[in-house]
Amino acid sequence: MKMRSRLSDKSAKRLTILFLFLTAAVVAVALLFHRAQSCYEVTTFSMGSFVQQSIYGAERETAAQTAANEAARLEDLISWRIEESEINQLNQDAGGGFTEIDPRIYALLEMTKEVAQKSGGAFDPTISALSRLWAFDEEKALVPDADLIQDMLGYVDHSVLLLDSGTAAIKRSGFALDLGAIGKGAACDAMAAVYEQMDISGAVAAVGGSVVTYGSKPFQEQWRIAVRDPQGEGAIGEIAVSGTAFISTSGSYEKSFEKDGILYHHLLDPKTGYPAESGLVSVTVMAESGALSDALSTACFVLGYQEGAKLLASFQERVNGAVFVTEGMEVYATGSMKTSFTLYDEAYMQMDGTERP
Amino acid sequence: METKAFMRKWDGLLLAALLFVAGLILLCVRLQPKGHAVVIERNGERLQEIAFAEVTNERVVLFEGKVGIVEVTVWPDGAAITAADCSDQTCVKTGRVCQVGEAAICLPEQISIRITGSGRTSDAVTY
Repeated sequence: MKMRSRLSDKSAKRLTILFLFLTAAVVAVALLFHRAQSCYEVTTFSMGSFVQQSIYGAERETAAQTAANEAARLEDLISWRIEESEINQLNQDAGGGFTEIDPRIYALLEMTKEVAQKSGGAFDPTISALSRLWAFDEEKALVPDADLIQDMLGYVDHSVLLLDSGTAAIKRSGFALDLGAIGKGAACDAMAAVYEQMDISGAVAAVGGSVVTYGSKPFQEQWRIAVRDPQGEGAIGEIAVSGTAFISTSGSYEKSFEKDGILYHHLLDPKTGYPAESGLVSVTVMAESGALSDALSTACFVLGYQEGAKLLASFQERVNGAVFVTEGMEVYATGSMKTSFTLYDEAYMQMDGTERP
Repeated sequence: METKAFMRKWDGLLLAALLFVAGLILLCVRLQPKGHAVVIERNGERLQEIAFAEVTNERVVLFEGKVGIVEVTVWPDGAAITAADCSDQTCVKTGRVCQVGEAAICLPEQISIRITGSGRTSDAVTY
């Protein structure tokens, strides 16, 4: 009562205004947090794998659905298993003339030819004869007959793929395309194109182990992409990226089987017809597109660290960097990965002079 | 006749103070970390979300997948696909998932289980 009498009308009014102002500020902060943290997460299936998206922003749900549809639509165009796909049609017409193809598929084929040429055939889009023989997707766990492998090697040669002004042809019959090595990365590209059209502030999507980041996380935090431990559970480290980035990994652990004490994995060397033995267990590549990062990670795995690093250098600014993990648990980071990748698994040794955190 | 002011200075001040307290509570609720839960989806369709706080011992839930049935078991600290009609059984071999962002996926059945909540360590995994 004493206080009441001490408080003048003017002071009470001032205090009331102050409280109202503080309330408005607190509510604004709460709303900001709510808006920033509203993330839509969804898991769908495409490219023989799961597609996991986390999206921030006004049109997050629509963006997720549209992007998932686009990934599925791309699969319909590039999967050789789908009867009406552009790739299956090209395979069926092998030995025949040129056919007009979807511009996106044309661009993908151009890229695969470039990587095939620059890698000296370590990556080859015409690997179909070999990949079907081994059939890692069907999990037969059988080592094909050596003579059969030799025969099939004669049907792997990227020079049979001809491209000319929006048309493509496989010039010899018996040869066939298999874009399985770049499907997941290409799906990331298709999804990123959707994100650019929508009113969203940030997104991260993983198609199997290929990842695309877009825009920014709330409060401008960096995206953190874990790199799986190739020889065990969990992750060996993390890549911190801002804005749009495409990251793909090729690892010998992904599809494999053991027979008579030998591990056979799905990353086939187009030169030998057998799983590549380059001393690597995984390669992670960050590039300007998902398809390119996917193709290069496969090529680098087949080539090994030294030759792989040279291949990446030949792509200059189209490749940001890479992380090579060897059978000897050594980790080599190149390009921007020297700073953006942090190794935190003590069992591995970072070899490029970058200090542990 | 003497007229009483509808709101005296104390009423206004009290109301403003109460609003401020309400705003503070809203902010606290918003900043509080979200409880961990497991989300079960079938090709983008959210089938169920189970908060770990709700589970006292073990809860087994069956879901219809693309070709068969998928059995999901939830414990207070994690979840797993414990049985599935699929041929490869990769989802079952994944074992228990407990960290935020971790998932077990049954490709043939198109069923996934994913741990959600705050405290996520990474945004995605490349492999």
